[in-house]
Amino acid sequence: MPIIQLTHVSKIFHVKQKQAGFGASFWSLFKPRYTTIRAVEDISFSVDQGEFLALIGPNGAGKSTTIKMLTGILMPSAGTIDVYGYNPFDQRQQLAYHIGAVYGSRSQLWYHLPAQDTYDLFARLYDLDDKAYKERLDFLVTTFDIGPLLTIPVRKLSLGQRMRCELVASLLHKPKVLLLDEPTIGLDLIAKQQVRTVLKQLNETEHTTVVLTSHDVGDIEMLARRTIIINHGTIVFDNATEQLKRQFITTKIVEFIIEQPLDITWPFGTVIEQTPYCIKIAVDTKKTAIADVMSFAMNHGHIKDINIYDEPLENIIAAMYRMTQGAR
Amino acid sequence: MKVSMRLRAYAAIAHISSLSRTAFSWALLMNGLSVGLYIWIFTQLYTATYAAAHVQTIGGLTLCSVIWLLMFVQCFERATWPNPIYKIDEEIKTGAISYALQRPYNYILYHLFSFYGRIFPTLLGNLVCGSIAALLLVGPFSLSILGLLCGALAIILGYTLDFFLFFMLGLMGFWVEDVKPFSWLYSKSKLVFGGVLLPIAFFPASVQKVVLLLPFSNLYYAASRIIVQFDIWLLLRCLTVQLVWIAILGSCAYALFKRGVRHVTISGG
Repeated sequence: MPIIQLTHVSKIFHVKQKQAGFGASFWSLFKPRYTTIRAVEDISFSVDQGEFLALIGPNGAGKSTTIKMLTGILMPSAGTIDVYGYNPFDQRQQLAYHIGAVYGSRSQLWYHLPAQDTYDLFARLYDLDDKAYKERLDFLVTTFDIGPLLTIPVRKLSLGQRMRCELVASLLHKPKVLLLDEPTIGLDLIAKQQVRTVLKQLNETEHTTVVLTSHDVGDIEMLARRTIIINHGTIVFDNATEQLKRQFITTKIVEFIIEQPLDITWPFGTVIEQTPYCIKIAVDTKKTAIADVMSFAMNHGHIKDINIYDEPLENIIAAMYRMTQGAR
Repeated sequence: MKVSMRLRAYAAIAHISSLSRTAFSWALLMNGLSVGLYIWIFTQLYTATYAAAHVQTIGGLTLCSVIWLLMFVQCFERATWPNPIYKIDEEIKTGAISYALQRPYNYILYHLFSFYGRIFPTLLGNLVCGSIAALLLVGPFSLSILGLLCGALAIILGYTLDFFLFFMLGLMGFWVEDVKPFSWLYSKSKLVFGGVLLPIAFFPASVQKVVLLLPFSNLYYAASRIIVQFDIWLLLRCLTVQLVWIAILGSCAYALFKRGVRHVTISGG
């Protein structure tokens, strides 16, 4: 049964244009010009209870706007949204008891105080009784491993530590729906891994419906069972993540940092960047195992370091377009 | 039950806001010391004024009453720094409003109680420093418990009134790039018509009549006057004017917020 339902939703922003120069700025006081930005255009989808959905797309694609319409912060310009039986914009306060949200680039914790103080405040805001609050907090503190962080002012926490504390704040009231806008942005690999593991665990054990936006293909591969790709405000892909992986996420970028310049021809993949001490190769994992590429490199030179990246999301979307146009 | 729980929630907002303010202990101390410095300047200024005029009272106020009156006004007014205009404007401009709007509380009441909480530690520090300075410079004034209690009520309403004006100016951030000019204009109006530098009792009678009906003089001056020189008619007039302005400005703030929230664009994705 859908817990989230969007029907023909659009969001248009009217943004004031600012011309360069003093004269233009002065005249804009009397005759302001506005430009229309269609952030989201006629999108429809639903999310079932307990589902883990990834909403991905490049910068400015409309994914964060969609999340903000789901929380009720932004009012859709057209269409209808239903989250847990509520109209988010008109019934924002009632809906707040059932949803939790984290925005990776912003903080909900009181900056100069330890996270514990914010948690105590949220317990009051969400009318949690003392016993239930204590039990829930103990569980989340253990799960996210933030025990030693509870008494440190938020401003002194690292980004990864802060993000774990943010997630705890959003989960205190046991929300049915968790909306995460770039929760892993700026985190290092270990911090990302920690956040992903806990989110997966919560989704599986508490059946929390999770909608996550991300730029990171790794988030999607590890977490989401279903993926929606938004580009220029419209949905370009809505299917199982497995399907996306099989069809489109097949390229890995392998970067070798070498001690001596190599003069060899690479039999695998495509060399996309080469300097005397660094080589980047795009490898199609359907055709070649990463291990083969690595052993070839190690047999031919002294490798100082290896990095493996996912293909940028923009490339995946471009590949999708090529495929769609080819089919036409 | 529901109302008491909501009250507990808003009390918790005031509490954490107060707690957060205490993180700036040096700022609190400096604020208090600056009140003391202002009292010293006022004492020099008004001692010379009373001496030059060869009078014991001006507008029904003795030199001692004037200094205590200005001490209270300064303490109350300076406790609102930094004012909420910038906080609200920043929330709108940075997109931090996205968290503030999605909680189960009324956004206006959230900021109101946050404002009450933030004032409290600063006000306490100001009153301690200001009272010491006034005691040392002009000695005690005749304080009545009734005057103190009624003044406390008037100051709560005064802060509420000030908050609605701050809040509306902060909401201008939805429509204009910079709210500083509005903030500057408002603070200067308070300086002139709010009795922050010059007691309104010193104004010509015809000007006084108008000024006392404006919100500015009913923010801090009226409450301070009630504490320093209690008068039941003064109290009744002050409470009436305050409540009327709170009703008007509260409604305007609500309407403006309802309109502004449709303009949320959330910068930065």
